[in-house]
Amino acid sequence: MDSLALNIKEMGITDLPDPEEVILTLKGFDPGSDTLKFKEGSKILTGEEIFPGEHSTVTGTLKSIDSLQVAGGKRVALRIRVAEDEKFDPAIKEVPDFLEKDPLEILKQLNRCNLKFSEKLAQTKTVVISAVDTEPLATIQQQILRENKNRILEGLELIKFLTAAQKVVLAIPKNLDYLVADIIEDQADVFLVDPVYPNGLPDILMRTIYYKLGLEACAYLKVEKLFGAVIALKQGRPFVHKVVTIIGNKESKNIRIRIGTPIKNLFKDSDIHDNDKLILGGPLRGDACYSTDIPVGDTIDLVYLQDSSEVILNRNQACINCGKCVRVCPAELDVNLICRFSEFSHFEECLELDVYDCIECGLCAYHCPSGRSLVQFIRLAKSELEKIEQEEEK
Amino acid sequence: MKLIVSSPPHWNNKDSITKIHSHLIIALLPVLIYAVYTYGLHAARIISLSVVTTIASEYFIRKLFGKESTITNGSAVVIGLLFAMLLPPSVPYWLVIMGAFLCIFIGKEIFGGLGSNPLSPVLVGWAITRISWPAYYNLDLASVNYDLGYSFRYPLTLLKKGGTEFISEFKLLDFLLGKQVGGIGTVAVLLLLIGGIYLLLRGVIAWEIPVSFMVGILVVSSVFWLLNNNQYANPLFHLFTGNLMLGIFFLSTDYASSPFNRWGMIVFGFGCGFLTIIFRVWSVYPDGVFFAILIMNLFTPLLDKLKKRSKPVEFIHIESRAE
Repeated sequence: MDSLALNIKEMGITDLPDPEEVILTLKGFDPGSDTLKFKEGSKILTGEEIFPGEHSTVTGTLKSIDSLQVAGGKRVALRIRVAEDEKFDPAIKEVPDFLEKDPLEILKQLNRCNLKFSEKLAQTKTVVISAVDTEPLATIQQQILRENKNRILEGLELIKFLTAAQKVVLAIPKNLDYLVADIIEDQADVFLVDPVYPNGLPDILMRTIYYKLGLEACAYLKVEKLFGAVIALKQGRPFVHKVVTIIGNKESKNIRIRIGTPIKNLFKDSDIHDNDKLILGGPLRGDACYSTDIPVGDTIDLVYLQDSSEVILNRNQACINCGKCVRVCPAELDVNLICRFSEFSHFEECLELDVYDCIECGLCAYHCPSGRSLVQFIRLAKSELEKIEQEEEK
Repeated sequence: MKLIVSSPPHWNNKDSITKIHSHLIIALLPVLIYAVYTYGLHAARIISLSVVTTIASEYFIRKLFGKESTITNGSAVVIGLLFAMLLPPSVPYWLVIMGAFLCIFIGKEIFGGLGSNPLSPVLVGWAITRISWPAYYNLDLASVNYDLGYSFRYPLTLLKKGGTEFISEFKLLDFLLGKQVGGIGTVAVLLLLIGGIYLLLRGVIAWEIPVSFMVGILVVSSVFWLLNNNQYANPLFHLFTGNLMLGIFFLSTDYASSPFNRWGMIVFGFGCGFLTIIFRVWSVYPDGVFFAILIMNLFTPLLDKLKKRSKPVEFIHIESRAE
């Protein structure tokens, strides 16, 4: 199971019934200065804006407001009890003839549908739509392309319309080129990617495309979000469902869940045992969870339950300077040096070695024969450097 | 329910330092068996004495320095085996112990242990004993009491003394099969080659250093050979004699003392090859492989800078909430 090859097997998508409770964490919400327009007990509609950039993904009653420690830090979390009949925010309207409207208006409409498309969009000349899954085991981007190809072709039109891009590139795994055999040059350029980690990661994919095709002012979008945008405009449905690959001890499947569903709803209680590892995200970049009461957000493609027998514990032996980390690093960093400096708190030296160019793909630690937690050392250096910077500003 | 939490990645290719050294020992095994087969108990005596000394000295030195014991990672065994292989069959026991101890103490532990050594530990021990007691390393004297049915004169000394005329009695095939005089583990060229290929296939060593080393040997010796083929031997003679094959696969590829970026490795390997031939042609030593490697070891920090980074590409995420 530990191969770095990306999975290209077809795996159908099934729907998961709505959970009783959905947890929404608000990124960028500061409880000290920001105020929330909802109180405990207020009714919330699907797609209604809670806080700029954050929309509710269900219809229901606000049960409680508390804080939750997630991988990105401490966040304000809203627990919403899901109501039986779903009602959409009245501001969301379908725009089937979107190609005849004003692009700015369309962007606003997408924003209302929980798809916060960047304002820099108008300046981009090339757009890369990626159907390559970012991590091994995940199969969702390719599955969405398989099942909804016509919608995605409409999406390519939409992207051209929104950005005035001269070129749209559709990146897909090499072995799946038959899926797009009938795409003509007018619609998109097809870019075939070797299905091995880390080729699907945005940073790596964009760099490969940049050096191969020499494109300028690039932008990146996953197929799933493009599909979501087409559905939002054609059917007036906000982007509230997310497809995730679930890898459990016994079975793996692709399911469509409500964004904000807690992890405990994805597995049976009997499936999770003591000393297992529950990973939000993939086996190489995902974050291990301390509890099953953590919601699955809209950037998560994979939830991976690792059995206790497969859990590797960090040995953190001394570096033997074998250089494997340096040779596998896609960002071409001197990983061994950076991590040694970080280990002994020489963070300024890490900065000189371009530690910020690290994309935390995890390949170095994957290959390390000493079992060192290299990614952790790099994260430590980055966060300590940020602290030093903040202090200097003061 | 208790869940385990740790930083990513959550997978590992299950490699370990012990595994790397096990592969090295497996690769050396045929050569060691050939050494015992050829020189009998003399070889077995040297090998066991050397390995016992390296393990014991690593254990006691680390204890003395107040560090955790690392003898289970196999590095001491590999150093012991490699050092034994460099010695002629007739060296006295104290020289083996002395050299093996120096390999561990001066070569490795004094710098902080495995991974911190600036020079190949095996060659440090070898160089000190080689220069201090040259008589025991004189291969023509060392093997005077043996008769194994092939010429027991050291081809590289002959070449140095009398040019190609003196080495006309040797056949390349004999060199390949190990029928030449030398250190107990340096002569079985074919077996060393097989061991080296095993290491390459297992991913223990990378191809850059061995290949560029060989290219360096062949190119530089060809130049001399083309200039004067009476005085200088042909490139294949150089490739198959002396300690070269052991140096190419097992000593120049030592992790800590060799560079690890591609161009650094290629320059390193070529430099080793270049210096080897220069020493063989112009120095007082008949074979300069190990000195060449030691000198190139010193260039490693410099060669590690021979790396051109392609800067990351800037782009925007259309969906700005994505990481």
